[in-house]
Amino acid sequence: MANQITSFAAPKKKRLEDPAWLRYLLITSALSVVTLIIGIPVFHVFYKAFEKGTGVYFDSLFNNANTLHSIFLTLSIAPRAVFLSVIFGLVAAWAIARFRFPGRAILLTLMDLPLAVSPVVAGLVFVLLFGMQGWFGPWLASHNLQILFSTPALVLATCFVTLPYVVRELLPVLEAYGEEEELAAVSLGANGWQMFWRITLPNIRLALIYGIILCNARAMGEFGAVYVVSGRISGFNDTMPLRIEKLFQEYDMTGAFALASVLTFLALITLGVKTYLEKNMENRHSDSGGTK
Amino acid sequence: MTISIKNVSKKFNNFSALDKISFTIPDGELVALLGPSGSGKTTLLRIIAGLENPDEGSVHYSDLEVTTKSAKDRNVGFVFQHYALFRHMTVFDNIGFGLSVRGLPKEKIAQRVGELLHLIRLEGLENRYPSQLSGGQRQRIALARALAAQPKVLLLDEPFGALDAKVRIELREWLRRLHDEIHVTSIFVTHDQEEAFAVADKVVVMRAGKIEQIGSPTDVFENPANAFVMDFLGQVNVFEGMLVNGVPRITGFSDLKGPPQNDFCSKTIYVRPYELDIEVNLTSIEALPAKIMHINPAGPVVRVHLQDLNSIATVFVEINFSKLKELGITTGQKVYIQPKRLRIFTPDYMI
Repeated sequence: MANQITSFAAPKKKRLEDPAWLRYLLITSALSVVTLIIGIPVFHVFYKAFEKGTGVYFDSLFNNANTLHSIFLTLSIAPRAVFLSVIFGLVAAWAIARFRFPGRAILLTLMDLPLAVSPVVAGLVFVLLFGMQGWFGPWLASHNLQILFSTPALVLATCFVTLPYVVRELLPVLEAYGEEEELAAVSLGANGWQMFWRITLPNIRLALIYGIILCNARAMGEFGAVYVVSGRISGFNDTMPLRIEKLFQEYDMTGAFALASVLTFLALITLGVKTYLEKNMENRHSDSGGTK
Repeated sequence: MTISIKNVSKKFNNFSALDKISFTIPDGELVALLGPSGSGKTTLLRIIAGLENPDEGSVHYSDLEVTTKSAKDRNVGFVFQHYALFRHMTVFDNIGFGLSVRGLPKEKIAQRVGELLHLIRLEGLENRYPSQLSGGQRQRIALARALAAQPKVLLLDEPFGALDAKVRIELREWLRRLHDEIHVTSIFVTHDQEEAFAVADKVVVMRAGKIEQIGSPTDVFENPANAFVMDFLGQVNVFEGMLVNGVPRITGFSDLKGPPQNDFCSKTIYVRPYELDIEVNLTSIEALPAKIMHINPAGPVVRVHLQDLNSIATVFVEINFSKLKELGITTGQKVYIQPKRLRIFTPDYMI
């Protein structure tokens, strides 16, 4: 439709364009900013990591028990935090999209809090809750439960910062495709479980994967909140970002950059997966069956 | 299966969508819920289906009360206004969904889906996705999907609302034939009186959460219960008039010039366009002088717009084409309108 209208209105002339100098100026400035702020630092991380040769690189990664432990710790905390965020995200997005209840607007606003508040503050909140002077601290101590300065606190803190991502991805999709298909499934005799797995999930699949990817990237890179609740015990509570910072403070440049390169590499994999999914899944018979 | 609705009420916040509705639909009938938007017809349909809970009252399938049963356990076929086909599933999987969630074996499902595709005349499309189908095809798939598990009742929410005029007429005739074939008790919602009349055995006319009249199409059209039904079911001319010795008379009749003598007797009189005749010469005292404003000779029925010379109101008259030829009337001519039938209603209803 739009095409027909424009072909009517516009005479057969060159498309109206911005002047060349403006185009080149904008493109050049965008490219140079990306190169300067993103490209060079990323390259530099790898450059510094491999500066003294691959031998030193792998040596500083694999022959350092604390560094190795930080990699495993991050790789074990991130999936757990992502799992919890996904469960919560599905429930919350579903509730907000499908029900009207008192406090819905407040829930929606609170959901964004982790995006707005500094992770350090979040970490402090957990210290206040679970620390010995905190609300639950004495009770936890009397039951021999260790939360602060151990893995549960790391998972909780990571969860706090990753919470909004799945909800934010799912909510618009759930609202866009509406509940008619779900109602149709129920009227055809599907129970809640069948409806979720066979109707809802396939419809939100892409957004969910997207949310998980974002969540995971955030979980692996989290520093502030984890810094506060970890207690910074080497070889025990240091995640990769914390370990990098510690190595850097100890002037172990090769070690810091080697680990940083691993973290960057994981981020690049995440980006790659996201790009692959965008290209390959977007158009698969998802060109909207409804008429809305 | 007989469906009974008893004293059903439903409120959304402060808006009363349904107000103590009761009626019964006999087994095997095709019934239209007809009313303007906001009359509660869709809400009623969803309550019958179990997609909505009534605040009060009960729903019965035959002798069984199903008010608290969920839609999943009612075994109804529901066709949504916008089809609500599963967009990530093929036509085959869409139609087979109701059977597959019931755990039927694959061969049984394939056999039933084949039967239904034959019934809706869409064989060969089983591997398409909904986005690859036309609106009419999607609607038929939605119907086949609803029928797959052999529901005891078929409910359709504005089934033809999203289709263009030609397909709509084709599909509604097809639905009528289909119903004659399978005889499942069916209820459909519509705001289009022509559609209701063309398809339904029985029409339930609704307004503002209440039932105004229930009856066969001929019945409700010929003998509307009140002014609302009269007005909603077709065009109507409204005249000021009075009762003279129990007989309705229009104020503009030549023997009744001037205002009515007794206000208590003043009545609003309703006349359908086809219940008026046009005469070139005054032959009776029961006639209104009028001027022809416009003649629309499209089709066998000619629609004439006239201006009542007493009240300056516009009057619509429908005469057939041969009558127009016979009268030889033209725009601007002065003629007389002669009513064949006048209706009055108790004045509870305002249009």
